[in-house]
Amino acid sequence: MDRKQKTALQIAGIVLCYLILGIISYFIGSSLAKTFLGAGGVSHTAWVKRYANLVITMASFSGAVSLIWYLSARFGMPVSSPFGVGKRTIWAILGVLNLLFCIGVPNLLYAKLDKNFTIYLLFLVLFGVVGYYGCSLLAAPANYKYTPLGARQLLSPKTK
Amino acid sequence: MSYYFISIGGSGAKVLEALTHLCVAGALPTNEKLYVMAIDPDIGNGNLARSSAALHCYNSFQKLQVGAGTQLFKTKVELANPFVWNPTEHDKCLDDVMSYQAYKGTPIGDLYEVLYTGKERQTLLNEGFRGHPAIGAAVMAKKVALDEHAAQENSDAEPWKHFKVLVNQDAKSGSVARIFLTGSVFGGTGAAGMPTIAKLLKQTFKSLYDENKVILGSCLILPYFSFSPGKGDLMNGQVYASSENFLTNTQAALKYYSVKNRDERVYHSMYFIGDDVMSPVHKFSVGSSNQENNAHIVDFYGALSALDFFQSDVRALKKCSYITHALNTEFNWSDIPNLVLMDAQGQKVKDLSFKTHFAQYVRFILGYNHLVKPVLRGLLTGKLAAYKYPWFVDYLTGVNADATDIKNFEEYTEYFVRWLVQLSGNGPHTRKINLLNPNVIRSVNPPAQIQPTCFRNCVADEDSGITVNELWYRLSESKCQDSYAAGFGKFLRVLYDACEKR
Repeated sequence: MDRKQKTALQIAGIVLCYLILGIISYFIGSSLAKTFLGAGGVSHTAWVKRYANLVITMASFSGAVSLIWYLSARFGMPVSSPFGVGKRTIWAILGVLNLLFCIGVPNLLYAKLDKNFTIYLLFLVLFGVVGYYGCSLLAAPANYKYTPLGARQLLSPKTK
Repeated sequence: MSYYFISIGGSGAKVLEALTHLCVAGALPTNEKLYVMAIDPDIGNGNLARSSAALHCYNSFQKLQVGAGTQLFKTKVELANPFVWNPTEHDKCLDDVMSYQAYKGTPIGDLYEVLYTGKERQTLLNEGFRGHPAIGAAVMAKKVALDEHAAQENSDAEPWKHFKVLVNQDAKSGSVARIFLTGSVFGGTGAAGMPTIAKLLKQTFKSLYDENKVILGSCLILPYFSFSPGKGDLMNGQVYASSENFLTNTQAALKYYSVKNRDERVYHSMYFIGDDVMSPVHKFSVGSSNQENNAHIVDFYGALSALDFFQSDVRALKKCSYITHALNTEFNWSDIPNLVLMDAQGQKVKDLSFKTHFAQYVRFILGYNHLVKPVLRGLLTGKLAAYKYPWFVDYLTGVNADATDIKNFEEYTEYFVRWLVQLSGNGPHTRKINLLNPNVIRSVNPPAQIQPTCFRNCVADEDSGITVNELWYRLSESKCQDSYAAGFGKFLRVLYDACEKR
């Protein structure tokens, strides 16, 4: 597989990953809602409809952050010297931004939707950790493949 | 087959330097061993010191396991021991070498006094033969210990004894021993040694020579530089080489070779390399460490002539070869002949573009100097974070940067860069050497520094498409499939392959 094909595959992989994470968070969130939706409040069906939009928005934001990291590493941070490489700070900043989205997007854009801490936790885990960290680990351009924390321990060859 | 290279004198040493770099780059036609010897009474000669430094570095790091199926480091070298054969002892003059006192007053002694002036006979030979080949010829004929009589006369017969063993081994195994000599025809040591050593070799290996199991080639360097001693450079009455005599000496030498080759062929192939533009040597020196001339295009062509000899068909050796360049005021890559790859039986496998091959090697060395060398020790000591350097994590974790072969490789890269810059420097009279991008090297002072934006076209007239970023990426994504590559050598192999223009 040449580099162009690999790049296309990785981008597709990131998109697919967030699609899957979105579906998972939709089903888990829908189940969780039954535990905190009050008897006299909005119906579960109506809640799920609005929740679906939240999930799509959340997956889009988070996916965009992952793609920003990938595309920056792949095309936007060329190396011309052996110093100033690695860019873990940028990766970390994007990761923190992603985590903030996980809390901010539901709070700000979907403030009226009933939710409790389990929804936030769900987003933090799925989109914040699994999504962003997993994609930056597994779908990484070669020149920054060990940038994510722990990547070197998890991915480097055991034998030479 | 095996390759033997004997450099004679200072000019020969400069060709040796160029050949060393071509050898390390894998430009020789097969992966047969190259045996190297230098002949120079001026052991402290600056040219010899520099050329042999690069060679000694390679001798150390050639064992790095870069794997099979690569041109890189494919030709191993064996250095003569002692590497520099000095036909004279320290503080000896010609009278001492020829045992003049034993013949004084006899007809032989009288003839000897007629042939050599008093100054020639009594000048100490520590700094060579001072541009007087007659002195050198007598010394070498007496001292080269190729036959048993000479070996008995000379208490220490090396390196000639081992040389003879190697050549005879080649013949026994059915190989052809290709012996190539190089030296000037206008100086002292080269002019003396080239005909003398060749004749001695032919006599020693006569039967093998007649069967074409030993073939002799030579690169005869014609004048290409000039110099003038300044007021304070010479002591009264000192014997020294004079560049005003170079052309006259050359004419006489060429007449000699013409007659010799007609009557009694010694060399199977002769290559004549010179320059009609005399490069001025600004710093005159009688000899020793001060005699250090910059690399010159003539040295490079000398090394290419050795390649041509090594890759020629034994049945169709060219007697006399010349080469020229298309444009009078410049040298371009199109003026450099292609390389030939051969199999173990000496059959041609394919042609290789010299430019393409050499350009890859230049990128390899410059890439190492720019991307790896500045950070390697910091990474190994933990001062730099390894995650930032994927290639380090993949190939170099646990490597000992103070290992001799690695240190020698890094030292070698500095020699190569300096040689390349000198070779590519514009010659006198605004003649251009268009081999290297003149802007790519910012500094040759160790560590050599490059201009990153010029990396992709570091070699003149070529856009490789390999930027520093691209090289970094290739290093990070590459997987070395060669199971024979290991350790630091594996990383060098990956780096070399990453520098290939695709």
